[in-house]
Amino acid sequence: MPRLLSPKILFLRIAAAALLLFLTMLLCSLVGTEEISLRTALTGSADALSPNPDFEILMHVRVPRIILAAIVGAALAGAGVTFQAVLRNPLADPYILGISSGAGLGAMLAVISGVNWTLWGRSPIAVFAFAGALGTVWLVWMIGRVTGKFHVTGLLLAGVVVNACFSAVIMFLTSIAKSQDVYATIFWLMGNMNEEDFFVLWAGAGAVGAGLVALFFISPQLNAISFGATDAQSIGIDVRRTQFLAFAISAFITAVAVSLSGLIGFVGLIVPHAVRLVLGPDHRQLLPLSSLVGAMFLVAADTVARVVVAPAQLPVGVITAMVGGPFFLILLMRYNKKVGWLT
Amino acid sequence: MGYDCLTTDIWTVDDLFAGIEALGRATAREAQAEQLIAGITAKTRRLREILQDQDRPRVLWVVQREPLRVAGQNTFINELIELAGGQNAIGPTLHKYPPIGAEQVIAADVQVIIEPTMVKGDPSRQRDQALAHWHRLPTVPAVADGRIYVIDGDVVSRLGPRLYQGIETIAQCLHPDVLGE
Repeated sequence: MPRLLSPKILFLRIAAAALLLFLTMLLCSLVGTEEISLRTALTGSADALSPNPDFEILMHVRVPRIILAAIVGAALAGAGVTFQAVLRNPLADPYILGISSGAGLGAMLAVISGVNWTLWGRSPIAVFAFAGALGTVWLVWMIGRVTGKFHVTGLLLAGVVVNACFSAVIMFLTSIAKSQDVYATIFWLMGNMNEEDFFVLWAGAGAVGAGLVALFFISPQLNAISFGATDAQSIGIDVRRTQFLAFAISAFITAVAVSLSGLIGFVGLIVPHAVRLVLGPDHRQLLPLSSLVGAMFLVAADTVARVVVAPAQLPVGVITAMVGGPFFLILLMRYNKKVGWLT
Repeated sequence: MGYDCLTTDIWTVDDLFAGIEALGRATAREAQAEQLIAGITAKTRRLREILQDQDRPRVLWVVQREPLRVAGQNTFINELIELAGGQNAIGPTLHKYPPIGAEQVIAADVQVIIEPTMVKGDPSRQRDQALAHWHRLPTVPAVADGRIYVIDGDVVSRLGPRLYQGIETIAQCLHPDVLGE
């Protein structure tokens, strides 16, 4: 009989993953197209008379970007776990309910309309994308709600159809937009990391962190729901409430991630599966560990994206799929006998 | 329909001269074509003589700010920068117009930032936005010295008979002390 997950084991695993994440971030902050000396960088801030490019590069370029990648990776992987559990569908990812096309449409509208204000330091693209993502999820949820009691299939179908409709609108706008605008949007759609202000990072980290902690508290219910809504209800779980909370929180943290970095694919799909393959399907463990591994994965992928075609850089979405895909297939072949849910 | 059709394929300054010659031949105005080329060449040569003892500032040519995309070395913009007495701050890249990160901007020791205008509109507004954007990287020499220029995209963003006008505009940004702003 497999050993049950004790709080001690859970804590140790989370602590180990957090340590690993910290080490990954530390290592990646030392990697870049420019060689910098850590000693020079740490001697302090620059002033007008003696600029310190090493400090600038480390503290104002690499570190913010690495923190951003960690926030986005954690959000996407955490949301991916939740969507897969609630929809009981291994193909679910954070974008499945139309968030990607909603955010994409918002971003496209922001670029085309040429609006030029900023809201708390965020560009119109980020603000429109955030609103588009949340608006779409709300729309899909409302459509799904009229389709049935535990409206999982209805939700999925609504998500797919809304996605298709919005994608068509994006294609239409692309066909009439100026090439400059199209390029800006496409780059955003491929997922793009930028150097953000620390205020934005703190706000993003706070929102995503709070969301993940909230999801962690409903992870035992997610375990029950993954056996089926009726089974979960029979052991006294308020399925609708849990579903609603899980959707709302996951949609929110996905929208935050999308507004920070555009659409980065694959993290929210394969990281939860990879962790599940190696450590098993218990959501109390799967959720925190996937978030930490997602953060690690995106930090590493973004580091590759920064340096691989230097001095240019690639959209990080290219790397996540290109590197993540084969890696996941190897895991799949190696561990598929261990877990029951594949058969 | 029986019309003669002339196709020109212009990617470099040499292509442009060849295109002007081809157009002259096709319209039986070879002399004017030669005159146009000779005029541009003479003015470019004179500019080179004026600037020959000057340092060649490192130029970042911004095609798009967010995401940041700049002119790479394998472009006619690179030729224009060199003809105007500067050098491209960005080294060889896979892309013609590479997307780059702030790390490269800091490391490339950029002395002048040039942005051509993209749309009809107020260039001073684009300049304000550019200044606000680059303000985040205060240690970049171009930012510290306030050498951020927004210039008329019409004369520099495509190769045509106004080539010299474009080169001169760029040269004025790069060597204001010699040529005047």
